[in-house]
Amino acid sequence: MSKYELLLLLNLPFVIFGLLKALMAYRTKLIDGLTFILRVLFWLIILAGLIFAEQIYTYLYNHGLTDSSPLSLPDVVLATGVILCLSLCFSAYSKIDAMEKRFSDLHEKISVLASKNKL
Amino acid sequence: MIPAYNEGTVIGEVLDDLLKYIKKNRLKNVTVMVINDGSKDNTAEVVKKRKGVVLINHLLNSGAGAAARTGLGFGRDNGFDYLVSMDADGQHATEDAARVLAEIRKGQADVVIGSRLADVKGMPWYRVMLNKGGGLFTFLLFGIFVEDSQSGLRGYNRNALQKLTFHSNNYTYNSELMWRIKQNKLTIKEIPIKAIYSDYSMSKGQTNWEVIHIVRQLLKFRILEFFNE
Repeated sequence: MSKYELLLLLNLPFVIFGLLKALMAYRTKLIDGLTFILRVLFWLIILAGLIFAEQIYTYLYNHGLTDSSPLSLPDVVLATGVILCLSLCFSAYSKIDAMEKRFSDLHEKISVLASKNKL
Repeated sequence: MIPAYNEGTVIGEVLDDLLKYIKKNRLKNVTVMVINDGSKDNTAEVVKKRKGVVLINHLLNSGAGAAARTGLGFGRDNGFDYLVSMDADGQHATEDAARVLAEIRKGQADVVIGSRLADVKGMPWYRVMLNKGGGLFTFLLFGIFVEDSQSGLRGYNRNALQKLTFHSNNYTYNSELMWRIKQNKLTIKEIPIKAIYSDYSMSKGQTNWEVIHIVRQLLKFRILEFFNE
């Protein structure tokens, strides 16, 4: 298996997850049509980048747009690790954000109730 | 609705003007509400001395956005037909608040904004830049153009009260609110108002440095909401 295929294989679950999440959000009417299209487009661009990574590198190298060495196994691991970390950060942030919203709601409700009781 | 944080020195005068106007014009079924956002000074005591003013005390200081959200929530939960928000620092004239109320009652828009930028005479140039920049940035990020998106003098009808909600706790809420108005397909109308600038009111509100924080937060909102519902 080539390193580019390995890169695709390791990162494909993220793309599939992203596409499914967008589809689910659209089906449950959490996002509108335009946001759905933009999200799908975003993930398809990422997928295209993964599928044609070798061709993109060759093109850039041949046209003198990059001077970096070809993809190595540590690069694959590193790239996948960075994407995994970003995904974990995003997931953690979403949870913290949701908790913050709940905390704000709670604080506001308690403040109103406490003020009413004092009136 | 008047969100207030450490406004003990001026809020008494603002409330007195408001109560006098209500009495003079024999306005009925009007509730004056102050959201005291955990002030450390005597804001709550000053408000308590005025009869007929509803005081909601935030247990924790949470920011201008959080105070406004509490006020809007109170209006929604208590079946208000209209709600007008104004600043506690004396920047807005009672007559302008009444004009905003009259405008929202006409039913031509869900949200009426009192624009200070229609006549910028007396407003320091950096404030003009700050407010206009806020409007431009809101447009670039959210695709909705409002001349004075950062104005604290706003009127909401029942439809807007039912639909509007936002997450920002600080001054970012001004721009986020415009975004939510657009998302909920609510209509906006702006009317010119006169802003009263004193040394006190100049020392309050958004500072130039806060703008950097607001811009950063709005960008974050935009990116995160794209991926997160």
